[in-house]
Amino acid sequence: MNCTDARAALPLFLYGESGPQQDTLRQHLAGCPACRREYEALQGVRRALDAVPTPRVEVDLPRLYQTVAARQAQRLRRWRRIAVALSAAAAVLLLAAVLRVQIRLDAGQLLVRWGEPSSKQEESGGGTAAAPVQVRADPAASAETEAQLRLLSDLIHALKDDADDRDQRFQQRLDRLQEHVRALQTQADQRWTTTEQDMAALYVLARKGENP
Amino acid sequence: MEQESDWQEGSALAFEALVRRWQQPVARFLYHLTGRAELVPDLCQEVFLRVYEHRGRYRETGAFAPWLYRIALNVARDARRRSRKETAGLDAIEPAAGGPAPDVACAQAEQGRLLAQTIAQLPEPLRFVLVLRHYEEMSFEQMARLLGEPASTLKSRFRAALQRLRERLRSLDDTYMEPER
Repeated sequence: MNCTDARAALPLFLYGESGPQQDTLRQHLAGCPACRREYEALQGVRRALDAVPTPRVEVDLPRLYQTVAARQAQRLRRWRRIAVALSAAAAVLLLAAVLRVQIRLDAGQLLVRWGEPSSKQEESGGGTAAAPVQVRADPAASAETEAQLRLLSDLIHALKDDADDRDQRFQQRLDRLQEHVRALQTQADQRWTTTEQDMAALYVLARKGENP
Repeated sequence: MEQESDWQEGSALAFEALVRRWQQPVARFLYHLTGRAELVPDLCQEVFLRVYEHRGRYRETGAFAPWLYRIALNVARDARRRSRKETAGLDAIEPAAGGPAPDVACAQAEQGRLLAQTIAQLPEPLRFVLVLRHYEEMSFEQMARLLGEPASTLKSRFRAALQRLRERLRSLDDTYMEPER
């Protein structure tokens, strides 16, 4: 093995990862002072890496659970807003489809129309004001409209029930998280009380030692 | 691991035990990735927050450590993206100039701090391999699964990372061993 190959393999050799080259490298190092110095320099790097201090950390579990609860509450509020918006949009679209609502800007006025337009109004266009036309409600169309309005009502109720159900599940999860936080706080209080008692006992013992 | 499956089912005690077991290794990992001790407590908190929130996604295959380190890697990357400060380049990290020569303990502490910053300034691919191999003692095969790269590529990066640190250490040694004038 030549020095170029040996030096390239030294980092892995240092960490016991050179596999079948291990023995060959060891023999080369035994006979090559330059490569041995290179190896010692890498050992110095490893020691320096070991000497880098690391901070001590303690995860704040009560704060963690509170953050989880806050994020879940935020998701719940966002879902509610989406559900309400979708319900409103579905209701508007269904009404518009059922009642055949038309909205139009025409000659400086906003025209809102629903139901079937009469043929006279279509022919006269927007130039002159057409005489009002009475349109009699078709009983079959009324029944269809009623059925569709009932469907709309059922849809809105189903969405509301689903929202209530999700509310309940989220509330249960929030309650469980709050229980965890309370349990941790109780534990912390108990540990503090025990520590105070231990400190008081040690103080008494110390005083006894001073005044036998 | 039984402990990991208990916390997945919502056991607070199991989760607390898991946090106590892994918080120091995660803190060490995050410190060596970022080089900033002041960020580590918050980043560590975020890691375990994500572990708790995503516990349903962990599939028990005996590979909890890589899953945890994957979360820590993402937290460190997100923190780096959020950071508004431009991190100094490798050459810009220099020991304090002037003043009396430090004693040995101070010099070693300063050297440790500078080396930590140097590690944090390595290109991300080299830094990850160095930290995972040296501090987390992960094999190259395990790293290959975690990082999704071939083990041979990771070994080359490891060699390159050690060489860079060696050159950096040589320049720091020259500074601290320079005789007083």
